[in-house]
Amino acid sequence: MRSANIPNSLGKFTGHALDQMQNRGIISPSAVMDAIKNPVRITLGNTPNTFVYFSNNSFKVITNNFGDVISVISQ
Amino acid sequence: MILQGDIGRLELDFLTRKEYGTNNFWEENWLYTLVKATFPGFIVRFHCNVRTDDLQRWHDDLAKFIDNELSSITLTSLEECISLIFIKNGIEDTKVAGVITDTELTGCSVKFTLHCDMSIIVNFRVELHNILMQFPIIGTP
Repeated sequence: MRSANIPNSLGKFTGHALDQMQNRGIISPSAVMDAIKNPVRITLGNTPNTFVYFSNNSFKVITNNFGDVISVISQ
Repeated sequence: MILQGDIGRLELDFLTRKEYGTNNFWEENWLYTLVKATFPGFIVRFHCNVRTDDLQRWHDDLAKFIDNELSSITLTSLEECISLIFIKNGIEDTKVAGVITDTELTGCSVKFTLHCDMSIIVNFRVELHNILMQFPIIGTP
């Protein structure tokens, strides 16, 4: 069950997130969206108002509280 | 920005903003950063991205740490490339337990523990203040 603070809709991808996806060979935004919709685990990010979604692939997705994808990093 | 410890040093060079001209909090506050570190047996050098709002939190927490309002603080970056735990260890000594990770390329991490004089921590904060003057936070979340 999701916490009330976790965004329940997807926002946009930031330019930084798209750069990081490209750097990590994640071509498709759908892989990132799938990680957000079906995460293995969700934790709070290191920065206030951010959330980290662990995918079952080798990356984590960082979003803000509006659901915008801020970054994609390796697990 | 240099953290010189008893057995090694960590240096963070904040080179430039990654994006200009959007006025967007989540786009403009990334700093392209060069991490350099020297520990016995290791010379580390890699690039990563650190946010200015993270640096502001580091600065504010360091101020409380130096003023003895907090006995330990944790400074972490959003993309998890830098994690530093400062713990007071006596009157003048500070233990710094850190992990630096090359999140951009290799994923390799180095864990280290340094002991620093409080004057080093004060200088670290002053350097952080100067960096924030050079790269202020743009926009609001």
